[in-house]
Amino acid sequence: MIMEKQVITSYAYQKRVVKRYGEGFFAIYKKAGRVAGWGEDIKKLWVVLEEKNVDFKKVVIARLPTGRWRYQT
Amino acid sequence: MILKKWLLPVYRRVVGATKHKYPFVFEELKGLGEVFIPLVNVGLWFESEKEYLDFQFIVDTGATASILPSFIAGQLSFNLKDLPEVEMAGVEGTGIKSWLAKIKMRLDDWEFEAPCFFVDNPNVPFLLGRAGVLDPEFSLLVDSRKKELLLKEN
Repeated sequence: MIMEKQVITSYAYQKRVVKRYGEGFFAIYKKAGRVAGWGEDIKKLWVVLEEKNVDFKKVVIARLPTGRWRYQT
Repeated sequence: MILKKWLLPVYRRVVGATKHKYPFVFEELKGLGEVFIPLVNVGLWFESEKEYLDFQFIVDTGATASILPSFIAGQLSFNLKDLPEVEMAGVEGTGIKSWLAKIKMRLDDWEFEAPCFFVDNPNVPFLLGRAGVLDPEFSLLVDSRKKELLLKEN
């Protein structure tokens, strides 16, 4: 059994992160849950991560807010 | 390939299939309160990097196949002009231009290929759909008692 840690832990986490950075794509460290980089789109995030020399294996890329805080089908 | 076809089922029968557990993540919606989002981490193969990068997907049993925004196609080394163009419809009924491709995915160390739609809408969420993923690769259990999502390798 493999237990995956969710990097986005709650609605409160999403709100906090989006309030600080804005909506968009985030690279979040799998272990610590810290934000490694942010970009309005995936291309901008890519540039940020390469500039910061972030190890891609240690992060998961997520779009926040996840459910975009609206009703979805 | 031989390993996957013959040895793996035998191994599974003896040792048991690998299960991937994901705790529920909740969002708060007006009028509904807290609603869970079925999030899973899926690796996408980046040809340019020669490795899998993990993305957070929403499991969507209503989606025919997995869905990605079209701007990511280039980074996955796909040229949209070379892919078959199809029309995809959501609940609102209006069709949206999309392109069909087969992409390499990974869930932990379990690698597989699945069809995927690149949708011409930058705001589309990353969705993990049915074709090639929920059938035949994984079985899905939404365990609302334990508040977790369970994906079991078939």
